[in-house]
Amino acid sequence: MADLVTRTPVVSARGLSKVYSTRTGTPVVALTDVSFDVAEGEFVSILGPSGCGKSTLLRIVAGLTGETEGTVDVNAAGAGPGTDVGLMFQQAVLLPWRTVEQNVALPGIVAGRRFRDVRPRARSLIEMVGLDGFAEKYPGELSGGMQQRAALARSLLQDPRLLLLDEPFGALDAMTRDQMNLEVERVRQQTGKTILLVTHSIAEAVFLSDRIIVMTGRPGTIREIVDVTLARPRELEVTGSADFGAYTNQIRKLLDRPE
Amino acid sequence: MAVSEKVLSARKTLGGGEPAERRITARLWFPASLLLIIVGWEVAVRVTQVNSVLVPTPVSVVQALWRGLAQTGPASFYPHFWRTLQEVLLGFGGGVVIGLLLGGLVAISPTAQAIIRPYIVMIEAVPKIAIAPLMVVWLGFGIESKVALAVLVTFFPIFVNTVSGMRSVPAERLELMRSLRAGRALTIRLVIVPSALPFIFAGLEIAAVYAVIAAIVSEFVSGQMGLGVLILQANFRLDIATVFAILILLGLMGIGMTKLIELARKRIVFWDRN
Ligand SMILES: Nc1ncnc2c1ncn2[C@@H]1O[C@H](COP(=O)(O)OP(=O)(O)OP(=O)(O)O)[C@@H](O)[C@H]1O
Ligand SMILES: [Mg+2]
Repeated sequence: MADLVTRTPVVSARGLSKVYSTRTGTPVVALTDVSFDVAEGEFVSILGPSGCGKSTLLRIVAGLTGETEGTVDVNAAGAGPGTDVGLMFQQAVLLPWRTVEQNVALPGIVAGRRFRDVRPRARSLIEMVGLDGFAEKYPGELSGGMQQRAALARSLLQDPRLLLLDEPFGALDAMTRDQMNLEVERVRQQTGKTILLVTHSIAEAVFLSDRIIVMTGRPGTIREIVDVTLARPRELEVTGSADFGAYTNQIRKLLDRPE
Repeated sequence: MAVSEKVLSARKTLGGGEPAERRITARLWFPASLLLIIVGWEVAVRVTQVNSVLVPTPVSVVQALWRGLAQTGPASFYPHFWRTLQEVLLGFGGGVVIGLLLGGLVAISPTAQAIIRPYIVMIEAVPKIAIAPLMVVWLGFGIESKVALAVLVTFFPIFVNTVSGMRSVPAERLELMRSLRAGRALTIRLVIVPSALPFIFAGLEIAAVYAVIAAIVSEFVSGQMGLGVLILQANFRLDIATVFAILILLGLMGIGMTKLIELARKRIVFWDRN
Protein backbone atom coordinates (compact mmCIF):
# COMPACT_ATOMS: atom_id res chain seq x y z
CA MET A 1 0.00 0.00 0.00
CA ALA A 2 2.84 2.39 0.88
CA ASP A 3 4.47 2.19 -2.52
CA LEU A 4 1.11 2.73 -4.23
CA VAL A 5 0.82 6.12 -2.59
CA THR A 6 4.21 7.30 -3.80
CA ARG A 7 3.51 6.46 -7.44
CA THR A 8 1.67 8.90 -9.70
CA PRO A 9 -1.98 7.92 -9.67
CA VAL A 10 -3.49 6.75 -12.96
CA VAL A 11 -6.58 8.85 -12.34
CA SER A 12 -6.55 11.97 -10.24
CA ALA A 13 -9.78 13.93 -9.87
CA ARG A 14 -9.93 17.21 -7.95
CA GLY A 15 -13.10 19.12 -7.14
CA LEU A 16 -15.03 17.81 -10.13
CA SER A 17 -18.45 19.31 -10.72
CA LYS A 18 -20.80 18.92 -13.60
CA VAL A 19 -23.85 20.98 -14.47
CA TYR A 20 -25.92 19.99 -17.48
CA SER A 21 -27.87 22.73 -19.19
CA THR A 22 -31.20 21.35 -20.32
CA ARG A 23 -33.76 22.25 -22.93
CA THR A 24 -36.25 23.46 -20.35
CA GLY A 25 -33.69 25.94 -19.03
CA THR A 26 -33.30 24.66 -15.48
CA PRO A 27 -29.75 23.35 -15.23
CA VAL A 28 -29.18 19.90 -13.71
CA VAL A 29 -26.39 19.62 -11.17
CA ALA A 30 -25.12 16.10 -11.69
CA LEU A 31 -21.91 16.17 -9.64
CA THR A 32 -20.49 18.45 -6.99
CA ASP A 33 -16.95 18.56 -5.69
CA VAL A 34 -15.73 15.05 -6.32
CA SER A 35 -12.09 14.27 -5.56
CA PHE A 36 -10.36 10.90 -5.60
CA ASP A 37 -7.30 9.08 -6.89
CA VAL A 38 -6.96 5.69 -8.50
CA ALA A 39 -3.51 4.18 -8.12
CA GLU A 40 -1.87 1.95 -10.67
CA GLY A 41 -3.19 -1.60 -10.56
CA GLU A 42 -6.00 -0.63 -8.23
CA PHE A 43 -9.62 -1.70 -8.64
CA VAL A 44 -12.02 1.07 -7.63
CA SER A 45 -15.80 0.87 -7.79
CA ILE A 46 -18.31 3.69 -7.74
CA LEU A 47 -21.60 2.91 -5.99
CA GLY A 48 -24.55 5.21 -5.54
CA PRO A 49 -28.25 5.73 -6.11
CA SER A 50 -29.58 6.05 -9.63
CA GLY A 51 -29.05 9.46 -11.16
CA CYS A 52 -26.29 10.51 -8.75
CA GLY A 53 -23.85 11.15 -11.57
CA LYS A 54 -21.84 7.92 -11.73
CA SER A 55 -21.96 7.66 -15.51
CA THR A 56 -21.24 11.37 -15.76
CA LEU A 57 -18.15 10.89 -13.60
CA LEU A 58 -16.92 8.02 -15.74
CA ARG A 59 -17.61 9.90 -18.95
CA ILE A 60 -15.59 12.86 -17.68
CA VAL A 61 -12.68 10.54 -16.87
CA ALA A 62 -13.02 8.98 -20.34
CA GLY A 63 -12.95 12.41 -21.94
CA LEU A 64 -16.39 11.95 -23.49
CA THR A 65 -17.86 14.92 -21.58
CA GLY A 66 -16.25 18.04 -20.22
CA GLU A 67 -16.30 18.92 -16.53
CA THR A 68 -17.90 22.18 -15.39
CA GLU A 69 -15.42 22.71 -12.59
CA GLY A 70 -12.35 20.98 -11.27
CA THR A 71 -9.69 18.97 -12.96
CA VAL A 72 -9.14 15.35 -13.87
CA ASP A 73 -5.75 13.97 -14.82
CA VAL A 74 -5.64 10.64 -16.54
CA ASN A 75 -2.10 9.46 -16.59
CA ALA A 76 -2.43 6.31 -18.62
CA ALA A 77 -0.58 7.23 -21.78
CA GLY A 78 -0.05 4.14 -23.89
CA ALA A 79 1.69 3.64 -27.19
CA GLY A 80 -0.47 6.07 -29.15
CA PRO A 81 -3.81 7.84 -29.36
CA GLY A 82 -6.75 5.77 -28.32
CA THR A 83 -4.62 3.19 -26.62
CA ASP A 84 -4.69 4.63 -23.12
CA VAL A 85 -8.20 3.85 -21.93
CA GLY A 86 -10.46 0.88 -22.52
CA LEU A 87 -14.18 1.54 -22.19
CA MET A 88 -17.16 -0.70 -21.64
CA PHE A 89 -20.78 0.36 -21.39
CA GLN A 90 -23.96 -1.25 -20.16
CA GLN A 91 -24.71 -2.28 -23.73
CA ALA A 92 -22.08 -4.19 -25.69
CA VAL A 93 -22.42 -1.84 -28.71
CA LEU A 94 -21.00 -4.28 -31.24
CA LEU A 95 -21.27 -3.33 -34.90
CA PRO A 96 -23.70 -5.91 -36.33
CA TRP A 97 -22.02 -6.03 -39.77
CA ARG A 98 -18.65 -6.98 -38.32
CA THR A 99 -17.80 -10.44 -37.08
CA VAL A 100 -16.82 -10.90 -33.44
CA GLU A 101 -13.11 -10.79 -34.27
CA GLN A 102 -13.59 -7.74 -36.48
CA ASN A 103 -15.41 -6.03 -33.62
CA VAL A 104 -12.73 -6.96 -31.12
CA ALA A 105 -10.12 -5.64 -33.57
CA LEU A 106 -11.92 -2.30 -34.00
CA PRO A 107 -9.74 -0.25 -31.60
CA GLY A 108 -6.68 -1.44 -33.54
CA ILE A 109 -8.25 -0.54 -36.88
CA VAL A 110 -9.13 2.91 -35.57
CA ALA A 111 -5.53 3.31 -34.40
CA GLY A 112 -4.47 2.74 -38.01
CA ARG A 113 -3.39 -0.90 -37.87
CA ARG A 114 -4.31 -3.51 -40.45
CA PHE A 115 -6.85 -6.16 -39.58
CA ARG A 116 -4.47 -9.00 -40.36
CA ASP A 117 -1.91 -7.53 -37.94
CA VAL A 118 -4.44 -7.11 -35.12
CA ARG A 119 -6.16 -10.41 -35.74
CA PRO A 120 -3.88 -12.72 -33.71
CA ARG A 121 -4.29 -10.54 -30.63
CA ALA A 122 -8.05 -10.29 -31.19
CA ARG A 123 -8.19 -14.08 -31.44
CA SER A 124 -6.29 -14.65 -28.22
CA LEU A 125 -8.49 -12.15 -26.34
CA ILE A 126 -11.59 -13.87 -27.72
CA GLU A 127 -10.27 -17.09 -26.30
CA MET A 128 -9.42 -15.44 -23.01
CA VAL A 129 -12.99 -14.24 -22.49
CA GLY A 130 -14.29 -17.72 -23.35
CA LEU A 131 -15.67 -17.12 -26.83
CA ASP A 132 -13.58 -19.74 -28.61
CA GLY A 133 -15.26 -20.77 -31.84
CA PHE A 134 -17.29 -17.58 -32.13
CA ALA A 135 -14.63 -15.36 -33.70
CA GLU A 136 -16.25 -15.48 -37.13
CA LYS A 137 -19.85 -15.26 -35.96
CA TYR A 138 -21.85 -12.06 -36.17
CA PRO A 139 -23.10 -10.29 -33.01
CA GLY A 140 -26.70 -11.13 -33.93
CA GLU A 141 -25.85 -14.80 -33.36
CA LEU A 142 -24.60 -14.18 -29.80
CA SER A 143 -26.46 -14.04 -26.48
CA GLY A 144 -26.33 -10.88 -24.36
CA GLY A 145 -23.65 -12.32 -22.08
CA MET A 146 -21.52 -13.41 -25.04
CA GLN A 147 -21.82 -9.95 -26.56
CA GLN A 148 -20.56 -8.42 -23.31
CA ARG A 149 -17.62 -10.84 -23.36
CA ALA A 150 -16.79 -9.63 -26.86
CA ALA A 151 -17.03 -6.03 -25.65
CA LEU A 152 -14.67 -6.87 -22.79
CA ALA A 153 -12.19 -8.36 -25.25
CA ARG A 154 -12.51 -5.26 -27.43
CA SER A 155 -11.79 -2.96 -24.49
CA LEU A 156 -8.60 -4.91 -23.82
CA LEU A 157 -7.31 -5.00 -27.41
CA GLN A 158 -4.99 -2.01 -27.24
CA ASP A 159 -3.73 -3.14 -23.84
CA PRO A 160 -4.89 0.02 -22.07
CA ARG A 161 -3.53 0.76 -18.61
CA LEU A 162 -6.94 1.96 -17.48
CA LEU A 163 -10.28 0.21 -17.91
CA LEU A 164 -13.48 2.20 -17.40
CA LEU A 165 -16.56 0.01 -16.95
CA ASP A 166 -20.04 1.57 -16.70
CA GLU A 167 -22.43 -1.06 -15.34
CA PRO A 168 -21.10 -3.49 -17.91
CA PHE A 169 -23.15 -6.40 -16.60
CA GLY A 170 -26.28 -4.54 -15.55
CA ALA A 171 -28.31 -6.05 -18.38
CA LEU A 172 -27.29 -9.64 -17.64
CA ASP A 173 -29.02 -12.27 -15.52
CA ALA A 174 -27.58 -12.98 -12.07
CA MET A 175 -25.78 -16.17 -13.06
CA THR A 176 -24.08 -14.76 -16.14
CA ARG A 177 -23.24 -11.71 -14.08
CA ASP A 178 -21.37 -13.80 -11.48
CA GLN A 179 -19.45 -15.46 -14.28
CA MET A 180 -18.56 -12.13 -15.82
CA ASN A 181 -17.37 -10.83 -12.45
CA LEU A 182 -15.06 -13.82 -12.18
CA GLU A 183 -13.91 -13.05 -15.70
CA VAL A 184 -13.07 -9.47 -14.75
CA GLU A 185 -11.29 -10.65 -11.61
CA ARG A 186 -9.28 -13.06 -13.76
CA VAL A 187 -8.42 -10.32 -16.27
CA ARG A 188 -7.28 -8.12 -13.39
CA GLN A 189 -5.07 -10.88 -12.03
CA GLN A 190 -3.57 -11.71 -15.41
CA THR A 191 -3.03 -8.18 -16.64
CA GLY A 192 -2.70 -6.04 -13.51
CA LYS A 193 -4.90 -3.36 -15.07
CA THR A 194 -6.18 -0.33 -13.26
CA ILE A 195 -9.96 -0.55 -13.27
CA LEU A 196 -12.70 1.94 -12.46
CA LEU A 197 -16.14 0.30 -12.32
CA VAL A 198 -19.58 1.83 -11.97
CA THR A 199 -22.11 -0.58 -10.56
CA HIS A 200 -25.46 -0.85 -8.81
CA SER A 201 -24.56 -4.09 -7.11
CA ILE A 202 -23.02 -3.87 -3.64
CA ALA A 203 -21.90 -7.50 -3.79
CA GLU A 204 -20.24 -6.97 -7.15
CA ALA A 205 -18.39 -3.92 -5.83
CA VAL A 206 -17.18 -5.69 -2.67
CA PHE A 207 -16.14 -8.79 -4.58
CA LEU A 208 -14.07 -6.92 -7.15
CA SER A 209 -12.74 -3.78 -5.49
CA ASP A 210 -9.79 -2.56 -3.50
CA ARG A 211 -11.73 0.58 -2.73
CA ILE A 212 -15.36 1.58 -3.10
CA ILE A 213 -16.46 5.15 -3.64
CA VAL A 214 -19.94 5.46 -2.12
CA MET A 215 -21.87 8.45 -3.44
CA THR A 216 -24.88 10.39 -2.19
CA GLY A 217 -28.00 11.09 -4.22
CA ARG A 218 -28.25 13.99 -6.63
CA PRO A 219 -26.33 16.23 -6.77
CA GLY A 220 -23.81 13.43 -6.40
CA THR A 221 -20.84 13.82 -4.18
CA ILE A 222 -18.62 11.38 -2.33
CA ARG A 223 -20.26 10.02 0.84
CA GLU A 224 -17.37 7.84 1.87
CA ILE A 225 -14.56 5.76 0.43
CA VAL A 226 -14.43 2.21 1.79
CA ASP A 227 -11.24 0.14 1.66
CA VAL A 228 -11.89 -3.54 0.97
CA THR A 229 -9.06 -5.63 2.35
CA LEU A 230 -10.38 -9.10 1.51
CA ALA A 231 -7.49 -11.33 0.45
CA ARG A 232 -6.78 -11.74 -3.26
CA PRO A 233 -7.15 -13.65 -5.49
CA ARG A 234 -10.84 -13.90 -4.69
CA GLU A 235 -13.14 -16.77 -5.59
CA LEU A 236 -16.93 -16.79 -5.44
CA GLU A 237 -16.77 -18.55 -2.03
CA VAL A 238 -15.61 -15.31 -0.44
CA THR A 239 -19.12 -13.90 -0.92
CA GLY A 240 -20.29 -16.24 1.86
CA SER A 241 -17.71 -15.11 4.40
CA ALA A 242 -18.40 -13.00 7.48
CA ASP A 243 -16.01 -10.25 6.35
CA PHE A 244 -17.81 -10.00 3.03
CA GLY A 245 -21.13 -9.69 4.87
CA ALA A 246 -19.71 -6.97 7.09
CA TYR A 247 -18.61 -4.93 4.06
CA THR A 248 -21.95 -5.25 2.30
CA ASN A 249 -23.75 -4.22 5.50
CA GLN A 250 -21.52 -1.23 6.01
CA ILE A 251 -22.08 -0.04 2.46
CA ARG A 252 -25.80 -0.69 2.51
CA LYS A 253 -26.03 1.51 5.62
CA LEU A 254 -24.04 4.24 3.90
CA LEU A 255 -26.38 4.13 0.93
CA ASP A 256 -29.57 3.96 3.04
CA ARG A 257 -28.81 6.78 5.44
CA PRO A 258 -29.70 10.03 3.67
CA GLU A 259 -27.00 11.83 5.72
CA MET B 1 -50.18 -41.60 -22.43
CA ALA B 2 -53.12 -42.11 -24.76
CA VAL B 3 -54.70 -38.91 -23.49
CA SER B 4 -51.65 -36.78 -24.06
CA GLU B 5 -51.26 -38.21 -27.52
CA LYS B 6 -54.80 -37.22 -28.31
CA VAL B 7 -54.16 -33.71 -27.05
CA LEU B 8 -51.06 -33.52 -29.16
CA SER B 9 -52.80 -34.57 -32.33
CA ALA B 10 -55.69 -32.22 -31.59
CA ARG B 11 -53.25 -29.37 -31.29
CA LYS B 12 -51.67 -30.39 -34.55
CA THR B 13 -54.90 -30.08 -36.50
CA LEU B 14 -55.74 -26.81 -34.79
CA GLY B 15 -52.37 -25.28 -35.65
CA GLY B 16 -52.65 -26.32 -39.28
CA GLY B 17 -49.88 -28.92 -39.17
CA GLU B 18 -46.11 -28.58 -39.06
CA PRO B 19 -44.60 -25.16 -39.83
CA ALA B 20 -43.09 -26.41 -43.11
CA GLU B 21 -46.40 -27.82 -44.22
CA ARG B 22 -48.11 -24.60 -43.31
CA ARG B 23 -45.62 -22.60 -45.34
CA ILE B 24 -46.31 -24.67 -48.42
CA THR B 25 -50.06 -24.25 -47.99
CA ALA B 26 -49.55 -20.50 -47.61
CA ARG B 27 -47.55 -20.45 -50.81
CA LEU B 28 -50.34 -22.24 -52.66
CA TRP B 29 -53.00 -19.74 -51.67
CA PHE B 30 -51.88 -17.06 -54.09
CA PRO B 31 -51.62 -19.16 -57.30
CA ALA B 32 -54.88 -20.87 -56.41
CA SER B 33 -56.76 -17.61 -55.95
CA LEU B 34 -55.16 -16.15 -59.08
CA LEU B 35 -56.31 -19.12 -61.13
CA LEU B 36 -59.77 -18.72 -59.72
CA ILE B 37 -59.88 -15.04 -60.62
CA ILE B 38 -58.65 -15.70 -64.16
CA VAL B 39 -61.14 -18.46 -64.77
CA GLY B 40 -63.92 -16.39 -63.19
CA TRP B 41 -62.97 -13.44 -65.38
CA GLU B 42 -62.97 -15.53 -68.57
CA VAL B 43 -66.33 -17.04 -67.73
CA ALA B 44 -67.85 -13.72 -66.67
CA VAL B 45 -66.86 -12.00 -69.91
CA ARG B 46 -68.21 -14.88 -72.01
CA VAL B 47 -71.46 -15.35 -70.10
CA THR B 48 -72.43 -11.71 -69.56
CA GLN B 49 -72.67 -9.89 -72.85
CA VAL B 50 -70.17 -7.10 -72.05
CA ASN B 51 -68.32 -5.83 -75.05
CA SER B 52 -65.32 -8.15 -75.24
CA VAL B 53 -63.36 -5.41 -77.02
CA LEU B 54 -63.55 -3.15 -73.96
CA VAL B 55 -63.05 -5.97 -71.48
CA PRO B 56 -60.77 -8.57 -73.01
CA THR B 57 -60.78 -12.13 -71.78
CA PRO B 58 -57.62 -13.56 -70.22
CA VAL B 59 -57.21 -15.78 -73.24
CA SER B 60 -57.16 -12.83 -75.61
CA VAL B 61 -54.69 -11.01 -73.37
CA VAL B 62 -52.36 -13.98 -73.54
CA GLN B 63 -52.83 -14.07 -77.30
CA ALA B 64 -51.96 -10.36 -77.55
CA LEU B 65 -48.90 -10.91 -75.40
CA TRP B 66 -47.83 -13.81 -77.57
CA ARG B 67 -48.38 -11.78 -80.74
CA GLY B 68 -46.29 -8.92 -79.44
CA LEU B 69 -43.47 -11.15 -78.34
CA ALA B 70 -43.42 -13.47 -81.35
CA GLN B 71 -43.55 -10.66 -83.86
CA THR B 72 -40.63 -8.86 -85.43
CA GLY B 73 -40.94 -5.42 -86.93
CA PRO B 74 -42.51 -2.22 -85.57
CA ALA B 75 -45.36 -3.91 -83.70
CA SER B 76 -43.00 -6.21 -81.78
CA PHE B 77 -42.77 -5.50 -78.07
CA TYR B 78 -39.00 -5.96 -77.84
CA PRO B 79 -37.63 -2.61 -79.07
CA HIS B 80 -40.20 -0.78 -76.97
CA PHE B 81 -39.54 -2.89 -73.93
CA TRP B 82 -35.83 -2.32 -74.34
CA ARG B 83 -36.32 1.43 -74.73
CA THR B 84 -38.42 1.74 -71.60
CA LEU B 85 -36.01 -0.45 -69.66
CA GLN B 86 -33.15 1.79 -70.74
CA GLU B 87 -35.00 4.90 -69.57
CA VAL B 88 -35.81 3.24 -66.28
CA LEU B 89 -32.29 1.94 -65.62
CA LEU B 90 -30.50 5.11 -66.68
CA GLY B 91 -32.91 7.26 -64.69
CA PHE B 92 -32.68 4.99 -61.68
CA GLY B 93 -28.89 4.85 -61.85
CA GLY B 94 -28.57 8.61 -62.20
CA GLY B 95 -31.06 9.28 -59.42
CA VAL B 96 -29.28 6.85 -57.11
CA VAL B 97 -25.84 8.37 -57.73
CA ILE B 98 -27.04 11.95 -57.28
CA GLY B 99 -29.25 11.03 -54.32
CA LEU B 100 -26.42 9.25 -52.53
CA LEU B 101 -23.91 12.02 -53.19
CA LEU B 102 -26.17 14.92 -52.22
CA GLY B 103 -27.68 12.97 -49.32
CA GLY B 104 -24.25 12.08 -47.99
CA LEU B 105 -23.09 15.66 -48.36
CA VAL B 106 -26.13 17.11 -46.58
CA ALA B 107 -25.84 14.51 -43.80
CA ILE B 108 -22.20 15.22 -42.99
CA SER B 109 -21.85 18.92 -43.70
CA PRO B 110 -23.97 21.53 -41.92
CA THR B 111 -22.99 24.07 -44.58
CA ALA B 112 -24.18 21.83 -47.41
CA GLN B 113 -27.30 21.19 -45.40
CA ALA B 114 -27.96 24.91 -44.98
CA ILE B 115 -27.49 25.56 -48.70
CA ILE B 116 -29.11 22.52 -50.30
CA ARG B 117 -31.97 21.72 -47.92
CA PRO B 118 -34.25 24.66 -48.84
CA TYR B 119 -33.98 23.87 -52.55
CA ILE B 120 -34.77 20.25 -51.90
CA VAL B 121 -37.83 21.23 -49.90
CA MET B 122 -38.94 23.54 -52.70
CA ILE B 123 -38.54 20.94 -55.43
CA GLU B 124 -40.09 18.35 -53.15
CA ALA B 125 -43.29 20.39 -52.99
CA VAL B 126 -43.75 20.24 -56.77
CA PRO B 127 -45.25 17.04 -58.18
CA LYS B 128 -42.33 15.96 -60.39
CA ILE B 129 -44.57 14.33 -62.93
CA ALA B 130 -45.92 17.78 -63.78
CA ILE B 131 -42.45 18.73 -65.04
CA ALA B 132 -42.61 16.14 -67.82
CA PRO B 133 -43.77 18.57 -70.57
CA LEU B 134 -41.06 21.02 -69.53
CA MET B 135 -38.45 18.29 -69.92
CA VAL B 136 -39.59 17.81 -73.50
CA VAL B 137 -39.16 21.52 -74.23
CA TRP B 138 -35.69 21.50 -72.76
CA LEU B 139 -34.41 18.11 -73.81
CA GLY B 140 -36.47 17.11 -76.84
CA PHE B 141 -38.57 14.13 -77.77
CA GLY B 142 -35.75 11.63 -77.45
CA ILE B 143 -34.67 9.46 -74.57
CA GLU B 144 -33.02 12.34 -72.69
CA SER B 145 -36.23 13.94 -71.46
CA LYS B 146 -37.47 10.58 -70.13
CA VAL B 147 -34.24 9.76 -68.37
CA ALA B 148 -34.13 13.25 -66.87
CA LEU B 149 -37.59 12.91 -65.37
CA ALA B 150 -36.78 9.46 -64.03
CA VAL B 151 -33.60 10.86 -62.42
CA LEU B 152 -35.55 13.68 -60.83
CA VAL B 153 -38.21 11.34 -59.47
CA THR B 154 -35.90 8.58 -58.18
CA PHE B 155 -33.49 11.04 -56.64
CA PHE B 156 -35.87 12.02 -53.85
CA PRO B 157 -36.43 8.77 -51.98
CA ILE B 158 -32.70 8.02 -52.18
CA PHE B 159 -31.74 11.46 -50.97
CA VAL B 160 -34.23 11.53 -48.11
CA ASN B 161 -33.38 8.02 -46.93
CA THR B 162 -29.65 8.59 -47.15
CA VAL B 163 -29.93 11.71 -45.02
CA SER B 164 -32.19 10.18 -42.40
CA GLY B 165 -30.19 6.94 -42.36
CA MET B 166 -26.93 8.74 -41.74
CA ARG B 167 -28.57 11.00 -39.19
CA SER B 168 -30.22 8.28 -37.14
CA VAL B 169 -27.15 6.25 -36.27
CA PRO B 170 -27.60 4.91 -32.72
CA ALA B 171 -25.83 7.33 -30.36
CA GLU B 172 -23.92 4.51 -28.61
CA ARG B 173 -22.15 3.63 -31.84
CA LEU B 174 -20.95 7.19 -32.29
CA GLU B 175 -19.94 7.32 -28.65
CA LEU B 176 -17.95 4.11 -29.09
CA MET B 177 -16.02 5.65 -31.98
CA ARG B 178 -15.47 8.81 -29.96
CA SER B 179 -14.11 6.77 -27.05
CA LEU B 180 -11.66 5.16 -29.48
CA ARG B 181 -10.64 8.65 -30.63
CA ALA B 182 -11.70 7.85 -34.17
CA GLY B 183 -11.60 10.72 -36.66
CA ARG B 184 -14.61 11.93 -38.61
CA ALA B 185 -13.73 10.19 -41.86
CA LEU B 186 -13.17 6.87 -40.17
CA THR B 187 -16.40 7.18 -38.19
CA ILE B 188 -18.30 7.87 -41.39
CA ARG B 189 -16.73 4.91 -43.15
CA LEU B 190 -16.86 2.38 -40.33
CA VAL B 191 -20.13 3.32 -38.62
CA ILE B 192 -22.29 5.98 -40.25
CA VAL B 193 -22.46 4.59 -43.80
CA PRO B 194 -23.07 0.95 -42.78
CA SER B 195 -25.72 2.10 -40.28
CA ALA B 196 -27.48 3.99 -43.06
CA LEU B 197 -27.59 1.04 -45.48
CA PRO B 198 -30.96 -0.39 -44.38
CA PHE B 199 -32.52 3.05 -44.96
CA ILE B 200 -30.81 3.40 -48.32
CA PHE B 201 -32.11 0.03 -49.48
CA ALA B 202 -35.63 1.02 -48.48
CA GLY B 203 -35.11 4.12 -50.62
CA LEU B 204 -33.88 2.02 -53.54
CA GLU B 205 -37.01 -0.09 -53.50
CA ILE B 206 -39.25 2.97 -53.64
CA ALA B 207 -37.05 4.58 -56.30
CA ALA B 208 -37.30 1.53 -58.59
CA VAL B 209 -41.08 1.81 -58.63
CA TYR B 210 -40.92 5.57 -59.20
CA ALA B 211 -38.51 5.14 -62.10
CA VAL B 212 -40.98 2.98 -64.02
CA ILE B 213 -43.79 5.46 -63.37
CA ALA B 214 -41.65 8.38 -64.55
CA ALA B 215 -40.59 6.60 -67.74
CA ILE B 216 -44.16 5.67 -68.69
CA VAL B 217 -45.60 9.10 -67.93
CA SER B 218 -42.97 10.89 -69.98
CA GLU B 219 -43.57 8.49 -72.84
CA PHE B 220 -47.26 9.36 -72.60
CA VAL B 221 -46.34 13.03 -72.82
CA SER B 222 -43.89 12.92 -75.69
CA GLY B 223 -42.76 9.44 -76.54
CA GLN B 224 -41.81 8.12 -79.92
CA MET B 225 -40.92 4.71 -78.56
CA GLY B 226 -41.40 2.64 -75.46
CA LEU B 227 -44.10 0.63 -73.74
CA GLY B 228 -45.91 3.82 -72.74
CA VAL B 229 -46.23 4.73 -76.41
CA LEU B 230 -47.45 1.24 -77.24
CA ILE B 231 -50.11 1.52 -74.56
CA LEU B 232 -51.34 4.81 -76.02
CA GLN B 233 -51.40 3.41 -79.56
CA ALA B 234 -53.21 0.25 -78.52
CA ASN B 235 -55.65 2.34 -76.53
CA PHE B 236 -56.48 4.47 -79.59
CA ARG B 237 -57.06 1.31 -81.62
CA LEU B 238 -59.27 0.03 -78.78
CA ASP B 239 -56.95 -2.96 -78.68
CA ILE B 240 -57.49 -3.36 -74.95
CA ALA B 241 -56.07 -6.88 -74.90
CA THR B 242 -52.71 -5.45 -76.00
CA VAL B 243 -52.96 -2.74 -73.32
CA PHE B 244 -53.33 -5.47 -70.72
CA ALA B 245 -50.46 -7.44 -72.23
CA ILE B 246 -48.15 -4.43 -71.93
CA LEU B 247 -49.32 -3.76 -68.37
CA ILE B 248 -48.22 -7.30 -67.57
CA LEU B 249 -44.80 -6.60 -69.08
CA LEU B 250 -44.48 -3.40 -67.03
CA GLY B 251 -45.44 -5.29 -63.91
CA LEU B 252 -42.75 -7.87 -64.64
CA MET B 253 -40.21 -5.10 -65.13
CA GLY B 254 -41.10 -3.62 -61.75
CA ILE B 255 -41.03 -6.99 -60.03
CA GLY B 256 -37.68 -7.81 -61.63
CA MET B 257 -36.08 -4.64 -60.32
CA THR B 258 -37.56 -5.00 -56.87
CA LYS B 259 -36.37 -8.60 -56.68
CA LEU B 260 -32.84 -7.66 -57.71
CA ILE B 261 -32.71 -4.93 -55.08
CA GLU B 262 -34.09 -7.30 -52.48
CA LEU B 263 -31.44 -9.86 -53.39
CA ALA B 264 -28.70 -7.25 -53.02
CA ARG B 265 -30.20 -6.12 -49.73
CA LYS B 266 -30.19 -9.64 -48.32
CA ARG B 267 -26.55 -10.03 -49.25
CA ILE B 268 -25.30 -6.62 -48.16
CA VAL B 269 -27.49 -5.80 -45.17
CA PHE B 270 -27.72 -9.41 -44.01
CA TRP B 271 -27.28 -8.27 -40.42
CA ASP B 272 -30.39 -6.07 -40.41
CA ARG B 273 -33.34 -7.81 -38.81
CA ASN B 274 -35.85 -5.04 -39.48
N1 LIG C 1 -26.63 14.79 -21.42
C1 LIG C 1 -27.33 15.15 -20.34
N2 LIG C 1 -28.05 16.29 -20.37
C2 LIG C 1 -28.75 16.68 -19.28
N3 LIG C 1 -28.79 16.02 -18.11
C3 LIG C 1 -28.09 14.88 -18.02
C4 LIG C 1 -27.32 14.38 -19.13
N4 LIG C 1 -26.74 13.22 -18.76
C5 LIG C 1 -27.11 13.02 -17.47
N5 LIG C 1 -27.92 14.01 -17.02
C6 LIG C 1 -28.49 14.13 -15.69
O1 LIG C 1 -27.44 14.07 -14.78
C7 LIG C 1 -27.79 13.27 -13.67
C8 LIG C 1 -26.75 12.17 -13.48
O2 LIG C 1 -26.82 11.29 -14.60
P1 LIG C 1 -25.91 9.98 -14.69
O3 LIG C 1 -26.27 9.30 -15.92
O4 LIG C 1 -24.49 10.37 -14.50
O5 LIG C 1 -26.41 9.17 -13.41
P2 LIG C 1 -26.03 7.69 -12.97
O6 LIG C 1 -25.54 7.79 -11.57
O7 LIG C 1 -25.15 7.05 -13.96
O8 LIG C 1 -27.44 7.00 -12.96
P3 LIG C 1 -27.78 5.47 -13.22
O9 LIG C 1 -27.31 4.74 -12.00
O10 LIG C 1 -29.27 5.44 -13.31
O11 LIG C 1 -27.08 5.05 -14.48
C9 LIG C 1 -29.17 12.73 -13.92
O12 LIG C 1 -30.08 13.51 -13.19
C10 LIG C 1 -29.39 12.94 -15.39
O13 LIG C 1 -30.72 13.25 -15.63
MG1 LIG D 1 -25.33 5.42 -15.37
